[in-house]
Amino acid sequence: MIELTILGVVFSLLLFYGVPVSFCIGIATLLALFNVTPDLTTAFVVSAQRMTSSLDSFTLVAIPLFILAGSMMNTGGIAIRLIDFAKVIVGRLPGSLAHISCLSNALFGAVSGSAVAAAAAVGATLSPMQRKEGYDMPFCAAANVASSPCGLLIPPSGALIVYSLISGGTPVDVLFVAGYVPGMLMALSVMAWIGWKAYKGEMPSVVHRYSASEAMKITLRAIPSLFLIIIIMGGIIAGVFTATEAAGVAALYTFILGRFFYKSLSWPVLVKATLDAAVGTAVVMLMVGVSMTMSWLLASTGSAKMLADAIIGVSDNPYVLMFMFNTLLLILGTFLDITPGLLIFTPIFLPVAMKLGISPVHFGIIITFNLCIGIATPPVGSTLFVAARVAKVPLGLLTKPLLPMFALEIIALFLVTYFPSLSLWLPELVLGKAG
Amino acid sequence: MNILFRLKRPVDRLLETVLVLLFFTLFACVIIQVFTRYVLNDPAIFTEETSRFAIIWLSLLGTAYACGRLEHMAYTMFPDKLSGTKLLAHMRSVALMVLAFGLLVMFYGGGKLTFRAFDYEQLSATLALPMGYVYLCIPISGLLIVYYQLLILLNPAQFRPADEVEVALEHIAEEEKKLAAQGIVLDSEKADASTGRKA
Repeated sequence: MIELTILGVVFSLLLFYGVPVSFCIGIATLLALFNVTPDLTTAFVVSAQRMTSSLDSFTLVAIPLFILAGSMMNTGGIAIRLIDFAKVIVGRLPGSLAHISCLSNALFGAVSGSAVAAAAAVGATLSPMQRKEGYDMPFCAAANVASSPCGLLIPPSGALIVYSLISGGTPVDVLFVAGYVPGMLMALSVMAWIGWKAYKGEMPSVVHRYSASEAMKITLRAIPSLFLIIIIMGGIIAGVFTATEAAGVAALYTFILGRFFYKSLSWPVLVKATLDAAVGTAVVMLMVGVSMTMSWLLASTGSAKMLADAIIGVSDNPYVLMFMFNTLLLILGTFLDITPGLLIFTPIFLPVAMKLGISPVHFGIIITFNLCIGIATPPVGSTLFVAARVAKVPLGLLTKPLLPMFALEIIALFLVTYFPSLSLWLPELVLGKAG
Repeated sequence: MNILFRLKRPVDRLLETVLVLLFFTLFACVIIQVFTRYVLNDPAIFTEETSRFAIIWLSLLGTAYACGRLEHMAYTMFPDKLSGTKLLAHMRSVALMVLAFGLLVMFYGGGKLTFRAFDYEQLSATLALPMGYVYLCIPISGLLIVYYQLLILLNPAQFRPADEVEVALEHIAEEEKKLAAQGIVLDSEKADASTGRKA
């Protein structure tokens, strides 16, 4: 119990003081370790060893490769083609430009996995048009914010890979397939609200229609980018690739596409994209390393079990407990980005969930969905800041239009929580397994 | 003390080169693995372990590099309220904590771990590589973290936290510029041009 107190207190203090999250976890774990190990040197060595050996995983190799693919996509002309494709599909709906940003975010999520990059690309491309057609800009920016995290549920997703590792090896392929429906649900809940506003006549009525030949041209242009989805998910579902190999092939494909077809990847750009991806990887990996050390400490000192028993002692009704869990996490999630959120809360809550009979795959989708809502809210809302910036809207104006969207997303979260088949049906169908 | 600052550029460049090389190794290993399995029907055995070791080196050296550019995610509500000397003092205090972690856990703890691995002649499973070489990146990274934190302690005003939004915007501007240079005008850009937006 002492370890748990030290961890909790030191971590929160350092976090709010402004120490980088990874070091908050590392330092808090180290101090808690002092209480367990015979001498200080052992604590230092154990910390260093645990941190490093938990990175020794072939599954984790997928993360840098997906980041690299995403980083090449940012500079490789893929984003803009996908947005154009989204226009062809939902352009005819009233309130089209707002719908387009939701669908673009989902499409973007299906080829890469960065909510921030998606929000930035979608916002920067669509905002000028939205302004011109007389859209309510804070509303549009809010739609972009609320829908951008769906890419973290729609595979490929770095978040789900991190969850796979911290949950003790939940299969990545099942998690990936399980993320589709909840991810779509997140985008659809925002689109539903846009549809309602348009139905009430509160949206500009200008629609974007394309002639058959134009639509065909834009679709053809987007096909090479969309083909990534088939490579990644087709490869994984058919059992051709592991997630890591799919990431490698995706990166190679993006490279070939950007270098030889769209001709937008020069060598200097490629080196810069690689370096960016390396830094992005290191930031995530350090966090994974120190969190795995913390998770190991919680498990080996029995703290995790004690905590789980205490939580189950409150109520043994799974519905009540999951309600409490989701509410608590929605609050805590506003302070944490998705990766640290997953890394910190999974080791604490997964044992409880499993005792309640919730499968690790289903739990992974719930916790990721929950934290996705959190990254769109202040104080730590990376996508919120980006979307407001690219739409050139003051942050404060986004709150009001965001509230109903969050309300719908929270309803979707509870649907995903209480109806396991929303997550587990698809993997059972295409992979024949759900765990 | 000046020598420490003069070293920053070469150290940065060296780290960048090594990081990019490690990344390509990782990438090549995974591609070779797929290629040898499906095309040659004779899966290479070295790829999995090599890529796992490459990612450890990449992660730890990248960690140090990210420390030098203040890229590790932090919750900035408190420091955002500070300015002037108070902000610099805050940066110094954070740097001191990171330095302590780098020095004690990574340099000292990791160094001891490395020596121990060499002493016990611990070997990796498939490549029979001494595990000491894998662990060696921990003290190296620790030392680099200490170096970068010393620079921050000495002159925190030189360092500015990385801005995710700035980076994302830069990417988009670059992409649009490139597309324009090739004369590709996409549908979205046509509309932008009419609003007078600069790419």
